[in-house]
Amino acid sequence: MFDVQGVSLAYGERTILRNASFKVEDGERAAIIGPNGTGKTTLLRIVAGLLQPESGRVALPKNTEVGYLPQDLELHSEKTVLEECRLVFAELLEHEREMRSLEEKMSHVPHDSPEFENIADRYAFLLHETHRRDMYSMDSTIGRVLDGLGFKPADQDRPCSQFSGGWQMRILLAKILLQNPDVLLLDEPTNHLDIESIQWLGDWLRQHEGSVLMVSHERSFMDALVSKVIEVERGEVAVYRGNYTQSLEKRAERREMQRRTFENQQREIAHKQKFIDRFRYQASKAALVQSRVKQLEKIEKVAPPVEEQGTISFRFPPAPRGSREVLQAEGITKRYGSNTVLENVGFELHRGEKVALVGVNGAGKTTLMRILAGQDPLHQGTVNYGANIGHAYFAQYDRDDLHPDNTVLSEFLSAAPLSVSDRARGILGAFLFTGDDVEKKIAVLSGGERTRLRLAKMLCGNANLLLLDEPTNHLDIGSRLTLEEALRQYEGSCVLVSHDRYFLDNVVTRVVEVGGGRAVSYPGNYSDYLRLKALQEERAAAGNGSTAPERKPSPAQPRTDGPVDAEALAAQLSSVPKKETHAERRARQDREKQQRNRLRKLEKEIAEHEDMLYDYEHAITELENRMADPAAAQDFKKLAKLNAKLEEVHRRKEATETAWLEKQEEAETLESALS
Amino acid sequence: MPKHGKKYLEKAKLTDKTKLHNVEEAVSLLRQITFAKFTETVSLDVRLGVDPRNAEQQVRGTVSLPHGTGKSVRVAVFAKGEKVREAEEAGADVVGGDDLAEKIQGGFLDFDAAIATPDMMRVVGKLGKVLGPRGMMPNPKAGTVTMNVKDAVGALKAGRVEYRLDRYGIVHVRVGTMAFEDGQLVENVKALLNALIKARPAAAKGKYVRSIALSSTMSPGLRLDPAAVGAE
Repeated sequence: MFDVQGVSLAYGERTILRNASFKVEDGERAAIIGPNGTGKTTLLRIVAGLLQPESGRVALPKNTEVGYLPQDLELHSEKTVLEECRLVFAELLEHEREMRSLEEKMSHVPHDSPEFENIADRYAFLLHETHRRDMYSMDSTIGRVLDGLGFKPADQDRPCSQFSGGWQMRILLAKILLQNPDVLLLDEPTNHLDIESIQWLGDWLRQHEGSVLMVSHERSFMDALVSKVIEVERGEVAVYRGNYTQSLEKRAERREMQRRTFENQQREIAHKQKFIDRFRYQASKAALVQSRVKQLEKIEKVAPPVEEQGTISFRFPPAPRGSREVLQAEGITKRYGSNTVLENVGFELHRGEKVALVGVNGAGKTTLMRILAGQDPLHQGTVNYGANIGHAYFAQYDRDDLHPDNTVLSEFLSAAPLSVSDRARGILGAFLFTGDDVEKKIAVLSGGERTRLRLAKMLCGNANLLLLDEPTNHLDIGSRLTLEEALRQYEGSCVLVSHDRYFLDNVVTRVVEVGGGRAVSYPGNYSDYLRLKALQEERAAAGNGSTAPERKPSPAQPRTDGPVDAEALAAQLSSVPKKETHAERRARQDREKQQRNRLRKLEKEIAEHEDMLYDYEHAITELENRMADPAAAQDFKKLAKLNAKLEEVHRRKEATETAWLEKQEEAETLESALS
Repeated sequence: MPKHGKKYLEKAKLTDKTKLHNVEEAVSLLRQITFAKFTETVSLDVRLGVDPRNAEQQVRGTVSLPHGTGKSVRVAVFAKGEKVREAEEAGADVVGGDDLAEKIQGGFLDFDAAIATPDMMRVVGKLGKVLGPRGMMPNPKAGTVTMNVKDAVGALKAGRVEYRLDRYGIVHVRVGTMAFEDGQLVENVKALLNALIKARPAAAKGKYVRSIALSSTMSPGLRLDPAAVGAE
């Protein structure tokens, strides 16, 4: 257990913590919540003893072992994962070595000498220590933790340096868990974990006998785990009993009560003041006035309730309308050494679709995302974007995209097109970088602030396809809700990876499960996906007896993206349609035939229009190049001619674009009617 | 809550969970509430007021129960030369040197305790991963690393038991079986409690013996009064 007593800290004029006090008992699990950049990590670092408060203290019982997992840290180690984890037990391994040496000594030291007595004492102590600290199950415990955090058995013998930043954080988390300290301090431990690992971590922490204090924005994780919530906002610390959801209710009640008390007191003060003002100069009321003045002086003023701090208030700019087929990938194969991550995977995306990639750790979600974003080379297969599709990629690990020496404003301006540079401060303001915040150096930004800045940079782009790899990491809960809302309203298409179940449920329209080298598509949101999976497993279990064997995709099949089983199951979930009459069926078939013919024609025309658009774009570039030629600039007649031509091409392009859009829309309507 | 059987619940009615008994009372009541069709083992569980995570507050040692544990102990001895014969004569069940170590590495574990002469410790050390988790590693402080093999085997056979704290600060020791006379059980319990009291670490603070429970394999537990047994 530990006790935080009246801790205060300020950076210059900015108060981070004011008289913070709370206590976490043995076996208790508590969470620190609050908007980004309010000092959650600072509080955790103070408890960990890494930062000294200006006043107050953290009381820890003697011999208490504290384990702290920072939010971001690189592990500079050439050791293998297993060796790195065994370092946690360095003392025990040393004990074991000493025991072997004492056994040697016992063999030749006279057994009735005082030296033998000393050896015996030490040996007995070491034997007891190894037993008490369960050294014999060390390797199996390491294996259990690494397995729970998603490491495959083969990964355990790979050097740590071969792992990405997120996986290195997992190694650090594994080490802290193995250390099994009395006080466990975790700064956003779920950021780099997938859903299965988050579940496992929750189970592990539930069995932890010491105290746990964590910073998290994972609502379901906190709800399932914590019994105390510590809220940090504008330097004030409030403690609520219960899990996250309960704390929100209590917080609302508390704020309401504080507001009422404040208002009542203000009324009382106003009433007294009015009396004083009215009778101040009447000698007969002098005593009464004096009494009221004294009463006013004695009143202990109630602070007004803290205003809710704003969350990200932004909308993605209307996405430029692009082709109906946004993205088509076929036969994607990707290997890392001998490890085949993706094999013959197909993926397609239509306009306006929001797709979540799910799967266990190392299944290849990020790999597929990077391939779709054109960041990773392919061993086989093709990735084709539709016409007029521009994509923006939000990478999971941001170390490379932000320059630590830049300020927030200069970093933003470095990526922003000229058209938005005059609105830069406004846009950053919407992302909660207010006032002097825009002059902060990137190096001092918190994890959440970095994510907000990266989202702001993305906002400025002209993309109509967003590829977001873990955009919710580091974002506080309020900001996640706003991002959810913004993505729901976003007109373009979006592929995203996130481990926040709430977030996925509210945003996506399709789920693609990546794993075993395949990608299988499931219609609906994340909860629908879980339901379909459960149904599928039930059917598989029931079908193990005499029914048809499980359908396996043929390796020769070009696309495993086809939602074969999943859609059939989805159809089962929906209601059964009414039976139609013979005449109705004939009429429907005729109508559909006409529609199909029209659709075929439209598709041909759309393809022609797309070719024309390509040609026009090519012509425009060529004309612009010619006009930019210094020789042409001298010749005004030639320049005017070129300009006229350019205008004409633009006009034609626009007309073709309009026609193309109309045909696209018609094709889309027909297609949805046919499906 | 664990679900208990009919017989257990019936016998549990005869006990009072809040009552603290003296040893004689507890042993005689234990006989009334034991119901299994086999000879049940009797064990004593003592919660001590020490911090099991603190190396200075460890409670460990051995005690010779005057009437043994009622269980025949199979003893393995690591020795060489004339000590082999001495061990065999003392009644050791398995005796050997490198050959025994190899046999154990191969999966042989048909013994309950191990003794080694100091010169054999370099061989026994290699068996740490096998013997350690089972609590059978010879320990000079428990008298199982000794040149006096004869006495060590005799003591183990006669009922010398080892006690140590578990991770919750509780000591669990077998003190006999229901086939023992009441008096024998009483004497064994008292011997163990005396040994525990003597082993009180200097660093222990506050009340040392927090609670004592006596039970047989299937019976409900009976609380003993620490004051009545001289543990307070």
